[in-house]
Amino acid sequence: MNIIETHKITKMFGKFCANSEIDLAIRQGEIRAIIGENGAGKTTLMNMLYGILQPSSGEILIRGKPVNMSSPKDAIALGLGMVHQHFKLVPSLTVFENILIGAEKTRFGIIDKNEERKQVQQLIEKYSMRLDADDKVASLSIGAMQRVEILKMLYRDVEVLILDEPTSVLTPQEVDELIESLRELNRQGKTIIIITHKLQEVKKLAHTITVIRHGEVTGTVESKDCSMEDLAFMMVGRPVLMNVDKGVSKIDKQNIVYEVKNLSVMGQRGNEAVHDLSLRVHKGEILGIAGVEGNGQMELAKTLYGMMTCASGSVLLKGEDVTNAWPDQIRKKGAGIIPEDRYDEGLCLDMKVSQNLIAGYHDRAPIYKRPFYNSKKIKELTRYLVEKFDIRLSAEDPNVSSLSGGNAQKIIIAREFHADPDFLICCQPTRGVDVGSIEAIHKHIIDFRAAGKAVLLISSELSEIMSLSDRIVVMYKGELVGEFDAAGVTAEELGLYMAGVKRVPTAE
Amino acid sequence: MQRLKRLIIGVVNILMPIVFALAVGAIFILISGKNPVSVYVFLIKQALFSEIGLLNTLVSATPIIMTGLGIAISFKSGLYNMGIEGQMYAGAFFAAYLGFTLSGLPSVIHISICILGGMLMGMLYSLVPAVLKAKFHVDEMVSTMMLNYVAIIFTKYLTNGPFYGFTGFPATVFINDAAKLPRFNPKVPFTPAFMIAIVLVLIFMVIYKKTKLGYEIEAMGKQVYFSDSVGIRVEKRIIVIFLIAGAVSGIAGATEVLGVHYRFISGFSANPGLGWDGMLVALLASNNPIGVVFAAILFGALKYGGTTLQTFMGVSNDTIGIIQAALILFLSVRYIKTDSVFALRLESLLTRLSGKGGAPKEEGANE
Repeated sequence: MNIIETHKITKMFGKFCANSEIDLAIRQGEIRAIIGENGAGKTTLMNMLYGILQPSSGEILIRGKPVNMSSPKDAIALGLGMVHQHFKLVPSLTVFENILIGAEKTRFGIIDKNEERKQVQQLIEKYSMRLDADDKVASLSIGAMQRVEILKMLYRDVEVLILDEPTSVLTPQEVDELIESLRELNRQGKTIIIITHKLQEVKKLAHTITVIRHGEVTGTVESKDCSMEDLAFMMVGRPVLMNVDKGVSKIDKQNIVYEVKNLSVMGQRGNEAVHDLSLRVHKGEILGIAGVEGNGQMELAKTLYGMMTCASGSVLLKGEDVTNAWPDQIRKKGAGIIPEDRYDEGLCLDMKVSQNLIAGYHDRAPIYKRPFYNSKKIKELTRYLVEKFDIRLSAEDPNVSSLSGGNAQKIIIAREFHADPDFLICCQPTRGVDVGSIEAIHKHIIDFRAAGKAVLLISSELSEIMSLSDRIVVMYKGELVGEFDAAGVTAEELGLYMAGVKRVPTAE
Repeated sequence: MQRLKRLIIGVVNILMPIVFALAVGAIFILISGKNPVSVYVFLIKQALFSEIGLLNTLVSATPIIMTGLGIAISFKSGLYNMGIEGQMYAGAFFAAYLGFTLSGLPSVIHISICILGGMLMGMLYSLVPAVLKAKFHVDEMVSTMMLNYVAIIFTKYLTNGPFYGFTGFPATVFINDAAKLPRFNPKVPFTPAFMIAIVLVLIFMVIYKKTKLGYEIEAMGKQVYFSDSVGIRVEKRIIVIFLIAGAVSGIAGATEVLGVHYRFISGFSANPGLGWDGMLVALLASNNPIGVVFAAILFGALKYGGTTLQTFMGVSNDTIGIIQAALILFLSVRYIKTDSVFALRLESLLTRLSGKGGAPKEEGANE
C-alpha cells in the first residue's frame, strides 16, 4: 500500500517553477531516498508534503485519501514528521523537556517531570537510541541533538519520518550511527524518507531512490539495481567523473611558495592545539593535510588565514613574512582563502550575493575607487561570476541565506579564484556540497595547480585529499606524523597514521 | 514582487506599533473624560496643518533626527552606544562656551566655529567609551550609560558654578548675537539647523550605500566573524563609528543652543532626553536614514502637539509620555516576519494580482 502519493504536484514561486508535475508513490514501510543536486527542488517537495508550502496544482494523497495540509500541525496529525536540517531545540532544557515541548504532561496544572522522564526513557529504549533523558541539550553532540529531534517526532506517533539532509552536519561515525538508528526504526515499521545528495549513504540505506533534477522526477530506481555512477548521471544529466583527472604534475621543487616553520598554536581551551609544525608547499603542488577532525587542523587553518594568532613559529608566503598577518594582508600578498566555516567566516548570510562576492576584496579597483563603490561594476562582476561559476540564484541578487550549501560555497570559490592568487589555503572545500558542484570545485582546484599555482588543502574527507593532492601529510594531535607521495599510498595506510597507531618523523 | 512584499511588510511593521500606542493613549484620554478621536484630530491639526505648528514640529524633530542618526549608525554596526545623550550635552556646552566667549567675529564664522566646536567635543566625549571598547573590551552599553550621567551632572555643576549666568536657574549667560542661528519666522525657533539635519541624513545615506565604511558597518552588524575574516579591522571601525555618532550628537547639542535656547541650560534635553528619543526613532526606522526623518517628525509632532493639548484640550501632557512609552513596548514586537505564513500568502496574492503566476516553466531557468 502507498502511504504517500502525489499526483502531478507543481509548485511555482512567481515565474520560477520549483517542482513540475511530480508523481511520487511511497510504499508503507520502505526507506525512500529523494536525491538531486542543490536547488533541484527536493526541499520544496518535502515542504509540500509537510504542509509548510501548498502546491500550486496537483494533489497529495495520504493512505489513499486526498488531503489538504495548511501547516505542519496537519501533517503531524496525519502521521507525518519531519526532522529539519537545522535543529529546533532549546539548549538550556533537558532531552525529555525538549521532546515534550508543547505536549507537556501535567498533574493538577503542574508539569509532572517524573512521568515525562519515564515516557521519554521508554521511547529511547524502544528505539534503542543512545541518549540520556536527563542530559541538557546544550551539552549534546550534533548527532545526539538529531536523535532528540527524531524522538520528538516519534513521541507524536508519526508513521512517516522525513529527514532533510540529515547527514550534512554529522561526522562519519555519527553518520553510521544514524543509519543504524534509521534501520532500527524501519524494522519497527516506520516509513522513512530521506533527502540527501550524498550517494554513498543513499546506497547504504535506501530501498528505493527517486532522483529529481530541475524540479522534475528523472527516475525512481531500486537501490540494489544501480551504481553510484548511474545515480550521479541521473542527478546531473551527464556522466560525472567520480574520480578526478589530475593530469601531469609540474612541481617545481626549487620554488617554495609557502612555508610554515615550527608553528605552535594554543587552542581555545588553553591546550597546545598545534605543536612545532613545519611544512612547505611548492609551485605547482597540492599539499593535502589529512587527519581525523579535531587534531588541530582547524586551529592550524585559522592561524594560517589570520583568524587566530600563533604562539611561536613563522609563516612565509613567497618569501615574505606573513606570521600572524590579518586576512586582508594575506590576501593582498597573493593568497586566496577558502575558510573552514563557510557561514561564519566565508559568507554573511544576511547580505546579498553581490556583497559576498566582493568581500575581502571590497577595497580594490575596479569595483571600488576611493571614496565610492561603482555599483555598475559590482553588478557586472556579479553577473559575470554567477555565470562563470554556475551559481544558481532564485532571484536577481538575493541574500546568501536563500542559497543551498553548494551554491553558497561556489560564491566563495568564485570570489577567491577571481582575485587570481598564487597560493590557496583551501579548507573543507566540498563539505555539504552536491556531486555536480564537487566535480566543478575540484576541477577549479586542479586547473589552478595546472597554472603553476600552489594549494594547501585541509579536508576531513580522506577521499578528497587522496584524489587531489600531490603530497599528503597526516596530522595527529597537533603534529605531522607522516608524509607520503599521494601516488604511492593507500587509504588503509593513511588510516593507521590518522589513528595515531603509526608515526614517522617528518622529513621537513 | 519581492520588493513590493518587503515594502508592505515594512510598512505594516512600522504602522502597527504606532496604531497600538495611539490606542493605549486613547484609553487614558477616555479616562480623563475626553473624546480621543477629537483629541487626536486636534493634535494632528495643531502639529502638522498650521504653519506655526508645522514649523514647531520640525524644530522638535531637528535634534531627534541627528541623535537618531547617531544611534542608528551604532545599532547598524552592532554597537550599543547609549551615550548619545552625554555626547550631545558635551557638544552643547562647548558650543555655548564658544558662543559667549568669542566676540567680534562675522556671524557665519562664529556659528561655524560653534557648531564645529560642538561636534569636536561630542567626538572627544565619544572617544572614551570607543577606546575602552576597542582596546579593553569594556561593554559599551555600561560605559556610555555611565558617561551620560557624568556629562549631565558635570555641565550642571558648570552652569551652577563657574559659568552661572545669574538668571535664577542653572544656565549660562546668553551667547553673542553673532553666534545665534537666524530664525525664518520670528515666532518660531525654526533655523537652518533643520537643513543641517537633512544634509546629515543625505551624507549618512551615501555612507551606507556607496562607501567602504558603509559596507563594513553592514558586515559588522550582521556577522562579526565574517567581518574579521574578510579583513575588516573591527577595532578601528568601532572607534570610527563612535566618533561619527559623537559628531552628530555634538552638532545636535550645538544647534539646540545656537538656535533654540541661545545659552546652555542645565538639563535642556528634558526627560527622557533627546538622545533617548533618538534611540526610539532609530528603532522605529530600523536604522534607515530616511525612516529616521519621518519617525523624528512623528516624535516632533507628538512633542509639540502635547504642549498644545494641555492648554487647549485640558488633556494632560503626560498622555504624550504614555503614548511614547507604549510605542517602545509595541516596537519590541516584530509583527510580520518575512518568512511567515502571512508573508507567503501575501506573496502569492501579489503574484496573482500582477497576473504573472502560472507561467509555463522557462526552459533553462534553473540552469
